[in-house]
Amino acid sequence: MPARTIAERDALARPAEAQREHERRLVADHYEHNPEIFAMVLGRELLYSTGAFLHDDDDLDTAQDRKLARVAAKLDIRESETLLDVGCGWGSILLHTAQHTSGRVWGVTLSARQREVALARAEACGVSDRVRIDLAHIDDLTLAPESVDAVVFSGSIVHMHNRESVYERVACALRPGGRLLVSDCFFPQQVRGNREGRATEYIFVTALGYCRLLSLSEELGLMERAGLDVLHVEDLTRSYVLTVNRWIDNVRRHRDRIDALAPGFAQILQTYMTIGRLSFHRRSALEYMILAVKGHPRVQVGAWPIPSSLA
Amino acid sequence: MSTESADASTHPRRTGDIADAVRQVLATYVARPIDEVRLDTQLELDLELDSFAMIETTVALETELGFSMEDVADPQDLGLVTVGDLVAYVSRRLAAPHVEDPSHARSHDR
Repeated sequence: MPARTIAERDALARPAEAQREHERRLVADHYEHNPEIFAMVLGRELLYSTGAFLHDDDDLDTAQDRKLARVAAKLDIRESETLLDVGCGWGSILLHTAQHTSGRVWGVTLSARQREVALARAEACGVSDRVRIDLAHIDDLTLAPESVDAVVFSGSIVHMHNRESVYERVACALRPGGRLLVSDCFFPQQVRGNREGRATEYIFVTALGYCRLLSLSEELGLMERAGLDVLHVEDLTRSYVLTVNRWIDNVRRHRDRIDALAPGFAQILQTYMTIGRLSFHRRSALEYMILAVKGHPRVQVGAWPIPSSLA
Repeated sequence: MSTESADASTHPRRTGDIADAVRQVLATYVARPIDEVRLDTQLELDLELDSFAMIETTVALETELGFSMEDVADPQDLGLVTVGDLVAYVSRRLAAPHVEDPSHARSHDR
């Protein structure tokens, strides 16, 4: 696949190990900011990906609760099953899973601060005996064949350049019937807007360290090549515009406090989020949630929409 | 409440101050002398500011002056053509309620 952005072209010029270390350092930088900042901006659930809006005037927490319910229904973790969350952030999906199922959850993050917060939240919820969180890049993980029941990447897969290898390893690690859930941003297949301009560079490099967006069909193709079957895809682009709207409002509301904790960071957050909002508004970037399965699916997608998502 | 909004409510800025601040931010962004950024200078035609550049500059202005842009995804929808239009817009927004002000915060966002 040819490079779509300057960031991607730079990544292609690096040896794989150098790219991995680049991601480890530069992606972590963003998430290593004081967690208090993200708590002010992202809402109660500390979810750094789109909510699921049914109505334009839904508030952020309602949309994020709905998203968590939808993710839970898709992951379908049952007794003693294991969930791996790669790029687990402050642990929101892990904790939701641990609290609502008897499964075991394993998170991975590049940020030591995120790990600390996630572990503290697990302790506070009384589920720490079923929560493990590693400070690692996905390439560092030893993934035994057929050892996990579900893998989730929520707003994290774009930070991993080497997707071919990621999906191959995930497919191998999943047990038969295992689920892969990816919720993230994509480029339209047909180029809309300038991907080599300052705006893309601002989001992909200045604000977030490293991002690589594929088109939906390319992403699905990689999953299929790894032996997984795509079960369900939903477009959340409009929801993402509304989510980012709320985030921007929160940055404005807490600008002074954010700047006291990290001088200049409020402006970076607001700028990259406002550029992102425009991209999703114009659909020069798209947001999808993808569910794939290894072997025979256990869920009947024909029965969806998921009842809990209508709450 | 931010110090900027407190300043704005107790010591209203003069239009000239706002114009100077807007011109300075634009001049810095496009790396040109401030004399080349006049009130009748066109944002898109003369300064070559596209939507993304408008976002970068208006966020910088919000941070510096302490106001909030309207919630429009595309700044082109605001219909601002000249630097003077932007100055007038910022002046209006400075007089509008602030999102930072907790008394204006929507309760469901708490």
